[in-house]
Amino acid sequence: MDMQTRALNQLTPSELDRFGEEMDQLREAVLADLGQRDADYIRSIVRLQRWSEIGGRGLIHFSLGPLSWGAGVAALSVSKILENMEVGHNVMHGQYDWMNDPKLQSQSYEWDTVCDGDSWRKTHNYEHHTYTNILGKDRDYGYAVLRLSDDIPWKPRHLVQFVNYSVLSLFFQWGVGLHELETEKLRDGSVTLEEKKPFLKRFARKATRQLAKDYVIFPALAGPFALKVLAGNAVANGARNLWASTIIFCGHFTEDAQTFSEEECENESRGMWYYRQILGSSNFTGGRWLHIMSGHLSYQVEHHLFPDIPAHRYPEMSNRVQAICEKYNIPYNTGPFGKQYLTVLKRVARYSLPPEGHPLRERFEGVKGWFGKLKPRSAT
Amino acid sequence: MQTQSNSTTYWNNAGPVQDTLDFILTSIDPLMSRQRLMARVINCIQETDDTLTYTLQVCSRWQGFKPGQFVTISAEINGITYKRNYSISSSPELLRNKRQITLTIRAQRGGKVSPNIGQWLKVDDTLEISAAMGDFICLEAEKQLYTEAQRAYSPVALIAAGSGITPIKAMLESFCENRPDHDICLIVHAANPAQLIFANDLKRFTQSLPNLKLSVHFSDKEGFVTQNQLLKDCPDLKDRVLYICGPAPFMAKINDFAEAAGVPDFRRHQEAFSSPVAPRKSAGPVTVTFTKTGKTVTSANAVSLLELAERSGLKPKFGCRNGICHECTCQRTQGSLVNALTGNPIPDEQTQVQSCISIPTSDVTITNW
Ligand code: FES
Repeated sequence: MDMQTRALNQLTPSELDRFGEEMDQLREAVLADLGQRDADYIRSIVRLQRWSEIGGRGLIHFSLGPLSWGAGVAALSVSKILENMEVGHNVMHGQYDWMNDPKLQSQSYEWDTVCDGDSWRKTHNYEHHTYTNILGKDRDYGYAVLRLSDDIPWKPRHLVQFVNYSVLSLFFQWGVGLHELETEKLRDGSVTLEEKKPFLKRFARKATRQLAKDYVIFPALAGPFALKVLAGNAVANGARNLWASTIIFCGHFTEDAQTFSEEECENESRGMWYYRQILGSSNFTGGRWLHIMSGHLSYQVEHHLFPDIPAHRYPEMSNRVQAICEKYNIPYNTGPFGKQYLTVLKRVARYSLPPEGHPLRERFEGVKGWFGKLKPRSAT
Repeated sequence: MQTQSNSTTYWNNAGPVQDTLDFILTSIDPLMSRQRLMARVINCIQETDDTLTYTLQVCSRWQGFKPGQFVTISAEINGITYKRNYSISSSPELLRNKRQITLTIRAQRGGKVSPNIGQWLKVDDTLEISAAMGDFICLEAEKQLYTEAQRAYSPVALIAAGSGITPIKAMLESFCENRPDHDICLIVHAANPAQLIFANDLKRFTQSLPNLKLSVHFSDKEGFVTQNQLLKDCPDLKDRVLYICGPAPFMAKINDFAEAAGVPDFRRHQEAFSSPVAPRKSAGPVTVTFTKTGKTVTSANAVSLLELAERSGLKPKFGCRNGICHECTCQRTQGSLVNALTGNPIPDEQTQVQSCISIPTSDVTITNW
């Protein structure tokens, strides 16, 4: 807590204003430049996604052996990942609203996951992107399942949160789909099940449609080979879940990504909002395809600064963002994919243990020396 | 008919199956789309300096038109889709025989679409078109007033200025085909001979329509239309059914003259025919109209669309109220807005706007609230 507060106070209000203006200028410059290139890009991704879905489902359906089946599953997984990450997530942010294309409109787009589009727009576009990493307001922080900072009181069940994390990853679309249910608030009684009825109805409708598609209709079309289609679809959905969860955890839960308190963000200026977005996000580096398959969430910092600018522009914008960050001495969190992910795992492990000073802590440290490595870094 | 409307509903209910099948079909040939009506440009000729006539091959599902109607085309320029209405200038016969229609498009000064249309719409391109629309249809409304026999002998006056001649031409083509001896008074206005659209076709019509009386006027030489001139061209104006098409001030004038000459209101038909007028920037209070709910609200200060909607009793969806999440997006078809965060105007062609940060600077129309 102490460390975070200090970080937010590093810039004077007027510095923050100037910093905000520079970000606004960058934003306006790119918005003014949007055009055919961006339209062609997103359409080419949609085409690629559709062909890989058709190819994938076709291969699974008519596969003769494990090889062609595996290729089909791979193609279907790629298609699902592209649709969720580079098309769905980005379109629903309003990144392509300017095109006036009814198929690419943020408010009507519906994606290939059990998460209902309206629910996503509310919990992600609004809540998560407005209150990023504000503990108590950004429910994406740990998804109310994981303890990823000391602000959440430690309980013995956190000892096994690695298991929770693995399960959440594998069934990520269900976690995301049920996010709006706010189970933690249901448990402490601050919301009632009655209030959640409309959401549950929408969720049930979307989930039924998704389940019917992948686990009833397509398998049934294969007749006696229904099982291999069902299995193929399940593996593709699972692969997409794991991938999406991994990418998203790299975005906000790396070792150095910061959290904030509600008080310090009250009445924040635009500059401060930008500032918080940078401190709370982390990028990772990699090849062009890694970026595309992550929906350019590899540029999480840029995405949080400019959530409604077409994501494939982030690589070009990142130089300028880094230059501005350097000017104002703001840390810009990036590193290779593998390394960043390792710090996520470390964070999950570290906070599964009681905080320092907790009576149990000494016991653990006595038992295993390597826990010492998981101690929080001292503030720099 | 029943099955057809069922299948149309099926395809328009965008779902994964429909979308995928439509994607495959359009990959083979865009004209095979089941979700959209498509057309392909097969010819383009220069009509005058600033006017082009496109011949379009329309898809098999396109239902046909009545002479005088228009279609909405979706034009993509620099990634942005614009919708524009253009009258069909060809005969129903061309559609029947070859499934083709022609659109005659004149460059509108200051327009976004028409000035460079030759550059972005070329032979072999495909584009989305709507079904034919509009009730500026020759002797159609008269079906309720007259018997078929009376209708066949109702004399008409067709009065066009500038590119307003396009729907009139379709009507004339139809007369050539169906009732060549109909009594027609045709009055055409253009700036000068070089700007006269369909000069050759007009000549052809005078030959194939024996009871056609044609008058052509050039405003560069003769000035604006006068009542005297109109009544000289057409002394029995009050006995005719009028079809008027051209710029708004021209139509208003003709309307006044015709009313003074005793042509009853129900016999004066006109087509509002111009590119969207640049929105009026007003200094005083502005009115915002929400067409779906029929509510209106006036605002004198810099208040966002979202707040105005709430003031008028609507409860639109919103989230951050700060320009981040797009939850508050609404559809603006008319009027100008500025972005409250930057103070910059929001481009006119952008129809999806974030209401929480959009401040109207002219009268604005929102269609989905
Ligand atoms: S309410 Fe979030 S952008 Fe308007």
